[in-house]
Amino acid sequence: MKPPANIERAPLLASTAPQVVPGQRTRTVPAVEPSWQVVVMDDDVNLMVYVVHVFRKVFGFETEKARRHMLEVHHQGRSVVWTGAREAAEHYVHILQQWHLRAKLETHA
Amino acid sequence: MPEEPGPLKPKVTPCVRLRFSPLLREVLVDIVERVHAAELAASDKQSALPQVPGELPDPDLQTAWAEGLREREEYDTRALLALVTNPQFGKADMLATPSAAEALARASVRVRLYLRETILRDLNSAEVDGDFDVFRLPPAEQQGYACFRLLAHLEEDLILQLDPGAAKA
Repeated sequence: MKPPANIERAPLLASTAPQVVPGQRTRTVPAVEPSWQVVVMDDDVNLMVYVVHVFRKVFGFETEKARRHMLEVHHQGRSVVWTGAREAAEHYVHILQQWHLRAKLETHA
Repeated sequence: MPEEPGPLKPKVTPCVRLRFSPLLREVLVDIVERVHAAELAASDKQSALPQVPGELPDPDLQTAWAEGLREREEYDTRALLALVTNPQFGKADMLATPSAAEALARASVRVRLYLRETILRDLNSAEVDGDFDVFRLPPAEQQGYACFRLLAHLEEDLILQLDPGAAKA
């Protein structure tokens, strides 16, 4: 994959020691953590109205949004219903599983 | 005109009302008892850890995860069992608080999933949905199918009373 033009290539042989130029300001760049997705998979037991209720209850979705996700699960087999930090994603998956939805975690780079 | 300030009134959440024929008890009790017994029997087995995500790196977290699911299932199924064995079942209207109604709805799904994985495992999705001649099943399994359909109606009734907004779906 070609790097973006505005990113300078590192030299092949470079010192690993940080080079600090006196007078130059430095800053710490936090590592980018992958976000996590809460994915709900289709099954042939859960009723549509039940799934809509669970989405409304767990995520606070409006009916239309809950319905959209439910239909996505129904027609496409899965729907990403939430994306964010891992800990919260785990929490949501656990709650959805308590409601017997087929929910799982996926990373989203 | 703005309302006069006054004492805060507690939000009153209406209870869910359920009405059954006494004949339905025979269909439900045996299978709900069977599911509850299976849950209790599985509670000691490490092998019965359904749905724990493989991404969980920490064994302690995996155990806590499975325990949380198991405790919830057991609580919910016990609530459904208490409903169908209640002496008033089929004799008078029964009222459930919203949280109890949600437990009943989850338990209904739990029992239906159990039936889907056991007695009804050879049916396809359309057949499970009702496009099916129940008399194809051996007599002993017809009860399972009737229970499956009955609990679907109970589940829908509970949700529509709890969350009329979901009905627009």
